[in-house]
This record gives sequence, structure tokens and C-alpha cells, in this order.
Amino acid sequence: MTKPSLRKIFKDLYNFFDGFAEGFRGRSVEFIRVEERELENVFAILLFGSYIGLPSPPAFLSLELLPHVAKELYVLGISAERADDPLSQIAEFFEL
Amino acid sequence: MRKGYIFIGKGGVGKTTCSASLAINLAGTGKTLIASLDPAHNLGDVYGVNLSGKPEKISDNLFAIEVDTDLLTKKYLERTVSRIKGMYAYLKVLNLDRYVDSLKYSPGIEEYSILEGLTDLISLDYDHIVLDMPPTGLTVRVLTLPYTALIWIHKLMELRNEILSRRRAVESITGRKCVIIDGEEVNIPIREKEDPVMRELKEKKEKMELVKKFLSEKCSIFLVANPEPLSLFEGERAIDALKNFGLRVSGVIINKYTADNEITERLEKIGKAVKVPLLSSHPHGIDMLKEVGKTLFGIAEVSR
Amino acid sequence: MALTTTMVIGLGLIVYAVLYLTYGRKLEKEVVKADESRDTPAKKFYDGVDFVPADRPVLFGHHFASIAGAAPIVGPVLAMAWGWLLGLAWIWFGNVFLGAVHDYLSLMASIRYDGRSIQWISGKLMSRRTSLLFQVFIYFVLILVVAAFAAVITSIFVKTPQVATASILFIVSAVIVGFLMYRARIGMIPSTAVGLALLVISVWLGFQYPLVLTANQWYGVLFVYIIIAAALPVWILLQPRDYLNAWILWFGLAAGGLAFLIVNREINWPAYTMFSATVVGGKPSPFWPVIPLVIACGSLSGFHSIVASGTTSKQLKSELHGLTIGYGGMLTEGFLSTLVVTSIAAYGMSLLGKAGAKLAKAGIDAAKLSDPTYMGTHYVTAMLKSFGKVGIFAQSYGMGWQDAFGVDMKLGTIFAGLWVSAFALTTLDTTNRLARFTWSEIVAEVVGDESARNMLSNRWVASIVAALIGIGLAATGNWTIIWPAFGGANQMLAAIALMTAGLWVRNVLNVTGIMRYLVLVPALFLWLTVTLAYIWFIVVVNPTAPVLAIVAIELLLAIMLLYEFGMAVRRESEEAVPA
Repeated sequence: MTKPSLRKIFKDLYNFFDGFAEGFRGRSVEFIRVEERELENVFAILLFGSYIGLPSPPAFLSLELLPHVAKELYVLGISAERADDPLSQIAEFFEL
Repeated sequence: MRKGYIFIGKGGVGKTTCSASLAINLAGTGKTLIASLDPAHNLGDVYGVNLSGKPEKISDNLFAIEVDTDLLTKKYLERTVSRIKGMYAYLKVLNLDRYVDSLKYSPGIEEYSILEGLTDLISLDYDHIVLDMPPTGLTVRVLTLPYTALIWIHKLMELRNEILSRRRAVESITGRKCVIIDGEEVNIPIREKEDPVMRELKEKKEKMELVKKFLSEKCSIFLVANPEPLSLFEGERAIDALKNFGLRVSGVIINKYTADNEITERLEKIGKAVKVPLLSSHPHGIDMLKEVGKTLFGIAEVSR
Repeated sequence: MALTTTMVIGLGLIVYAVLYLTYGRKLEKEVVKADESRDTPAKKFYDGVDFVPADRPVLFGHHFASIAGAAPIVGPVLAMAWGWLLGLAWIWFGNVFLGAVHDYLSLMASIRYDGRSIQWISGKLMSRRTSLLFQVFIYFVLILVVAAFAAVITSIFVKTPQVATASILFIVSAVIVGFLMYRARIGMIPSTAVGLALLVISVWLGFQYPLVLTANQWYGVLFVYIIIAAALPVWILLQPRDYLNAWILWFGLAAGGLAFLIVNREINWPAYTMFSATVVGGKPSPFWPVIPLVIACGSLSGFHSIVASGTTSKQLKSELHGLTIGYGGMLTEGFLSTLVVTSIAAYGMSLLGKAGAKLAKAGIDAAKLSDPTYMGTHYVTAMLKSFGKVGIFAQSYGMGWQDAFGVDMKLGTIFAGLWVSAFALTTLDTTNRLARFTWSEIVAEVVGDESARNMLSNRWVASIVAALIGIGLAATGNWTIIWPAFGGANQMLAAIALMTAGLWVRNVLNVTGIMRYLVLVPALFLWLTVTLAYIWFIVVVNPTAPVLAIVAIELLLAIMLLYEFGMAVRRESEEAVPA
């Protein structure tokens, strides 16, 4: 039974290294994704910040953009929800 | 539309009378529309005619309209709210249709409706458009709205492009991922062309720039004041506010003038001034207004 | 039969593999009770934004690239003073029983707490004050790591100017790759190909055209570099360079591992020199409790707990993957440190011999270094005077490539130098960004006057202050004191995380019997070790003002931590984590 299992081992090994390299792909955009989320957060705050006392754009802008910013509102929601755990959101930057 | 004439001033100083008078005289030189954007319309009373939301012919070359800003606001909100409701279930939580009435009083909505009304008017085919504006506070906010809106739009477009370019960078490496919020799949635009936010912002930008151009290049703004302190102070404050946005007052109409005093002196300092004497009875009807208009015509002509 | 590199590397692999399969699996089955059928946060909260399940090898690659750094190389070089066997013992057993356990449990605890950070969990299981303690230790690490790494980079650039050129060209390469990958968007594979080609060119051109500057000039350059790099949008420099770093690491590890496996060179470095070799601040440093502070990230690193509870915990597909990624990832880092020790153990002696002239000028007789006691007391000075802080590793690495593959040793040396400086430069960049963030928090708390606050929390001010402190300390301080101080803050951070994990195991998972102590005992042992190291540091090493202040505060906080821990142990009534 050694032949098939040897092939399997090599295949598993190959898959492992292939996936490993694939992991680099994910890592290669991690910082950009963090920036993107922060900007979306800011965008949502700019539009709807009047609810927390920030100067806001003319109401018609906020209202008319509201239907189109679901993801931004979601990011804002998560940011607010996880505000007590800032580390989990900027963990990417701990490159030591 | 070649020229615009905007009348601002404290309530009760005689804006409607003055603007109505000027309109009659302008009609002699071209097709003229006089529009009341003041939610508390007086225009029809001054002409002694029933006016509506559509231009009514007063005399040769002269048309008048009382813009129903309330209706505009209502329609605007209905449109907007229905678009919001049509979107993600996630947002239905906001339950907006029950709050449409209170949304009406949301800061900035009234200004925007009046501005929309104004935008609609300036696209009509007239040689002169005379605008009878609401009381000073609201008018200043309406007139400066295009400027502040454009500053925000510019900033938001900049930020939006930063977001979109990062999305493109990520997508080109990891491929398109589908985003699921509250169980529903959400479309994430990455290019300007496919982004409804950019589309909206661009649309609003064009609209605001159109109005801004009209206000700064084709309009004359006249302050109507009475020779008494309150209308002076309010007028000065309005002028200061408008100055910050590069909007200058072309002339001052000292209405209900009786004699020179320190108020009239200060008013004359603001700009080219014209004195309209206090009449024994309230001017109304075409002929009386025509007389008043002759005085005003002077500064209207010279100011351009 | 003499001991060779092949045997040591082979032995290291065996030790890691065996303990992974026995000890690691035991943790997984009986302590964590990892269950495939329990949904991970990636599945529970799937949104395509943060919570996305990733395949095991993919996440392993991602996690490993995140925890990799320059520290696993720098620490072990310094630890050679105690002899290669002692250093290796900590790298192997400290890792398997502390470091990898720490990483694994941080990951699994985060999984069971919906992807929350270990700091948050520590706040929940101990007290809010603990969460703040965590934060303070992070500040200290951020300050010290800049000083420590800036000194390392400068040392490399001065001792091997070829690396300086290569590093600068590498920055240029990264910017080009960043443009191709994220702006022009030509695709990952073409961009990577270009990047790797540019890397090779950078090394080769570095070889030809060394750039010679003084140490202080380099400090100036680094200062400017930090400010600019941390201000740029990430796609321009930080992101592409971090990506290329991952490839350097991967290649360096694979090529190095292979080289030292096949070269089979005899080890002639003393296995054991003396218990208190001269390491920290020129003082005799007892192996225990000082060794964790010196080797730091090579065996155990508090920062890994943050990384594990960042993206990794939000992308774990199945609880059963945690062992490979958390435990296995740290072991792989340990393998890197093993490589460092092995290479110096094989080639270090002859290299120091070749540098005999330089050493003589510093009053060291190279021939006497074969005597363990002499080595123990003179190694650090010898190392610093001859090849610099990391140089002896870079040279050994180069020799390994030469003997194994027949390439000029200079090539391997430059590559290794580039490897360390590339990671260190990335650390300086990210640390400055983090320091800006924490600076504005501090300013908000401390500064009352509004206009002063506005001016101070300007991001340029924050960036400059952080960079100034770090570079200033690097240029004026004693590196053999600063490095262990950095290690000390890092290790206490790990202690907080491990104590939190211990509490989680005991109070929340309701593990009974002897398994409870599998985590608690090592956690307390770690706390004790680091606290004693702090005391020794203050009393014996007697550092100057900034470091002294930091270590003194750390000591107080360590005692506070024990108190919080004790209180939490008393509180038996923690409800079970919702399944």
C-alpha cells in the first residue's frame, strides 16, 4: 500500500504549499483592506454624523445617498459595536 | 434666461411690493416671470389675482407664479423614502415612512426644496426672472446652499474615489468577493461608472454648479429695508453672510421712506440705494405698482 | 562522532514534530476540546468583509507571514553567549511548552469569544485594569522596538554597506511592485515575478556598489525614512514591501534549512559556556531568568497573541485547524531561530578567527574564544566589534550557502542582511503608525488646554515625537540593554495573554484535574521569570533614565497583574462560553 499513499503524501504536500502561497495573496492586501474599512467608516460618519453631534452635509445629500451605502453603514455598525476592542481591528499593523 | 433679480429682506418690509413693481416694468423690455418662493405667499394679493403653481399671465409679457414649496418638499421626500424602502431589508429597520412628516422639518430639507424650485424656474424660457424670496434667514440659507453643498460634494467624491481605488486594488488580487449583510447579498461597486453613490454625487454637483453659476453671473440681489433699526440689522447680517460666499448685494431699496436719518445713512453706505417713499395707501394693482416700479427700474438697469 | 548541523536541524525538526503530535494534540483534545462541528466565527458571522472562512494552508501562510519578523533572528544571535545548547534548549522547549501554547490558546480563546482580541478577553476574565495593563505594555514595546531595530539596521548598514545599497534598491523595488500590483493592476503573478527579479537585481547591485555612511548618518536617514514611510498610503510602500518580505522569509528559511541540512558541518561552538555569561549591559547575566528577554520572539512573543486574535481568528474555518496554524506557526518560527543558532554554532568560531585583527584591537584574543569561559565573558563584545549585531549570523548564513550550494559567501551574507533589515524597516514603519494612534490617545487624556491638544495631536507631531524617541534612544543608548528591555516588555505581554488563557481554561472551559495546570503553571512560571528578570535588571544592570523608568513601571505593573490574576482565580463562578 505504499505507492498510492506516497503519491497522496506528495499531493497533500503540494496542496499545502500551494495554499501556503495563496495565504501570501491574502496577506498582500491586508493593509489595504484595513485602510479601505477605515475610509468607509469615515464616509459613513461624514454622512450620518449629525446623530452624534458632528457637522453634517446638507440633509438632502445624506438622505439621497442612504440607499446606496449599505456596506459603509455595516462597517460603521461593526466599528461602533467593537469600539471596546480596537486591537482586533488594527491587529494587522503589529508587525514585529 | 438672461437675467435674475432676487429680493431679500426682513418680513413685512415690502419685498413683494417692490419685486412685483419691478417685474411690471421689466415686462416692457422682455418676457418676464415673477415667482414667489416665500411659503407665505403675498404675490397674488399684491397683483389682486389668484395665482397657482403654474405661471399665470398677468399682462403682456408678464407672468406670475406662486411656487408650492410644501408640495415640492412632500413629493421630494416621498420619492426619496420610497427609494430607501426599496433597498436592503437591513435598512427597513429605519421605518421611514412613519417619519416623513417630521423629516420635512429636518434641517436643510426646506432649503433644498426651495432651491429645487428655483432650479426648475431658471430652466424656463424667460428674459427676466424676478424672485420674491422668503424671510432673510431662510433665504440666506437657500442662496448659500449650493456653495456649502459643493464643498461637501467635492470632499465626499474625493473620499469615495479613495475607497473605490482601494477596492479595485484588492479585487485585482483576491477576486470579487460577495458581501452578505444581515443575510442579504450586497453589491459592492468598485468603479466610478457602476457606483450609484458617485452617480448621485455627480448629478448633485452639476445641479449645484448650475445654480451657483446663475447666482453669481446672472443675478442681481437687492436688499429691501425700511428706515428702522431691525430691518437694517437683519439686512446687514444677511449681507455679511452672503459675502462669505462671494454673493454681493447690487443695490438697496429703502422702502417706506420718510426722511433721512442715521438708519438711511447706513443703508446708503451698503450700496447703490433707491428711496421709495411711504405711500398713503398700500400699493396694489398694476397701475399703482407701475409707478413704484419706475423708481426701481433705475437701479435695476445700472446694476448690470 | 562530532555533532553536525544536519543532526541539530534534524533533531530540531524531530523535537518539534513529536511534541506537536503529543503535547499539542493533548491540548487540542483535552484542554481546548476542539470540535469540528462547532461553528467558528468565520462561519457564524460570515459577511465577506471580515469574517470569511479560509482553507487551512491558506490561513497558515497568511498567519505565518503576519507573525514573522526580524526578532527571531536577532535574539538568538545574542544568546550564543551562553553556548549553543542553552540557547537551543530555550528555543525548543520554551517554544513547545510556552510560545506555541501561547499562540494556540490565544487563537482558540479568540475563536470562542467571537473573534475578540486577547486584550478584550483579559479584561473580561480578569478586570478592566488588566486590559489597560496590556495597553501600557504595548506602548513600551512600541518605544523600545524602534530603538532596538534602528540600532540593528544601522549596525548592518555600517558593517555590510552592500546591504545598505540592496535595502535602498529594495525600497525602490517595493514601490514599483506596489504600483504594478495595486495601481496598474497587472495581476499578482506578473507583479510578483517582477518583484522577485528586482530583488535579485537589488542584491547583485548591492554587491557591486556598497554605500558607506557613518552610524549617525544612518540614524538620520532612518529618522526621515520612518516619518515619510508612515505617512504614505499603504499601497505605495508598506503593503508591497510586506508582501515581498514574505517571499524573502520563505526563501531564506527554505534555502537556509536545506543548506544546513545538507552541509553537515561540524559544530565547534561551545555547547555551554557559563551560567552567567556577559550579555546584558556588560554584566554577568544569569541564563535564568534572563534568557526569555534575550531570545524574545524566537521562542515566545506577546505580539503573536494580538495577531492571532486579529484576522486569523476571524478566518479560521474549523476549530481543528487551530493547532496547525497557531501551534504549528509558532514552531515554524522556532525553526527559524534554530537555523540561526545552528549556523553560528557551525561557522561562528572560524569567522571570529578570521576577524582576529579587529578583535585584537578591542583587546580580545580570538584564539582564546574556544575556551568556554572566555567565550562566555567576551562573546558579546567580540560579536559587536567584528561583525555587528546580526552580522555573525549573516556571515554564517553566507558560509552555509557557499558550502552547500557553491555560491560566493558574500551573496548569502548580503541576502541575510537584507532579510533582517527588510523586516526591521517594516517594523519601524508599522510601529510609527501605531505610535501615532496611541499618542493621540495619551494626549487626549493628559493635555488639558484645547489649542495645545489640537497642536500636539497633529499626526506629524505624533509621528516625529515617536520617531525621535526611538532613534534618540537607539543612537545614545546601550543596545545590549535596550534589546532585553524590549524583550522584557514583549514577554510580559505574553505572560498576560498566557495567564488569560490559563484562566479561560480553568474558569470557563471547566477543565478539571491535572489538565488545568497544563496552562496555569507555565503561565505563572513565565510571570515569575519575567518579574525576576525585571528586578535583576534594575538592581544589577542599573540602566540609565528612560530604560530604568520603563522597567521600574513594568515591575509595578507586573505585581498589579499578579494581584488581578489572583482575584480572578478566586472568582470561580464564570458562566460557560456559549457554544
